[in-house]
Amino acid sequence: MIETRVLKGYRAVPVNGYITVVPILRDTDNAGLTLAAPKESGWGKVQSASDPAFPTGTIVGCPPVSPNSIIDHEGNVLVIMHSKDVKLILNEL
Amino acid sequence: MLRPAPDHTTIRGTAFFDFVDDYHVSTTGEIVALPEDIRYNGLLLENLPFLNHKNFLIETSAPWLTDIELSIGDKVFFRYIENTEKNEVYLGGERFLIMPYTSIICVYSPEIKPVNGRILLSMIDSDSDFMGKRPTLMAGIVRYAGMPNIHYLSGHQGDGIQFAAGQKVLFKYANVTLLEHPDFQILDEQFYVIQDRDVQALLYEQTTP
Repeated sequence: MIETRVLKGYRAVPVNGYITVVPILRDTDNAGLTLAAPKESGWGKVQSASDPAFPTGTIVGCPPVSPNSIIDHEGNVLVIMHSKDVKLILNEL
Repeated sequence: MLRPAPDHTTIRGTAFFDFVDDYHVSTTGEIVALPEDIRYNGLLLENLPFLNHKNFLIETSAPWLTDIELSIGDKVFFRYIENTEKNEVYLGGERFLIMPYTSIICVYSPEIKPVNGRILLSMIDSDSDFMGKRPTLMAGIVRYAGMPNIHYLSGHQGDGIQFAAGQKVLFKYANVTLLEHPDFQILDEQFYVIQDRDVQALLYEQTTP
C-alpha cells in the first residue's frame, strides 16, 4: 500500500508534465459492500495541468495509487500525478 | 578531474575504529580539469528512434544534456559513490579523482551554485503543515537553483523552468538526497538535493476565504 502524504493550505500549479486530479470517490467496493470510508475509483477529474493535452475537467483513468496529495482551501483532496501515468481519457459521446 | 578533500577519519576529535565507504569518504574536492564537452546521445536517439546499436548509444551517453558551468578551482560537492579506487589517478604522488561531469552536485566555494539542473532545498516545517508518517520529504523551499538541464535521456524531460530562491515546490519523494552528512557538515545549513525534473508543482500559500 502506498502511503498518501497530504499538504494543507497551498495552491499547487503543476509543472514538468504533472497534473492535479480530483479523485472520483465511490463508497462501495467491487462486491457492492459499503465501506466505512470512501475509496478512490481509479478515475479522476483534472483540476489543473502543465500538459495542454489535459484541459481542466477532463475525466482520466489513473492508476490506483495515492502519490503526493494536497488539500486546497475548499477541502478538496487533489492528487498530483504525471500525465504519462494516465491510462485513458474519457470523452463525452 | 578533481583533487578530493581528505576522507573523514575523525569525528569531533575522536578517531574511527572502522571505515564505512558511504559514511567516511569525502564528497568534496577542488576542480583541476574539465571536459570540453559532454557526450550525450539523447537527441540522436529521439530523432532517429529506429537506429541500430541503440543500447550502445544509451550506455555511452551522459544521462542528461547540460551546459558546463564549472571552472577550474571551484570547490564542489560530488556523489560519494565516485570516491572509489576505480576513479583514482596519482600524479606526482598526489591523489586525484576522475568522474563524470554529471556526478557533480554543486559548487560551494567561491559561492553556492548547483549544477546539472540540481536544486538545493530546505524542507517546509513538518509539524505545522503535514500529516503522515514520513511527512517532511515532500515539499520544500528552493534555496539555490541551478540552470535547468537541456534534455534528459530517460525521456522524463523537464519543462526547462528556471527555479528561483524562495519558491515553494512539491517534488517527487523518491529522488531527494541529503547534500552533506550532518556529522561532517561544511555549510552552515543542511540542504536537500533534487533535480529540476523532480519538481511536480509550484506551491502558493492560500488564505482561507
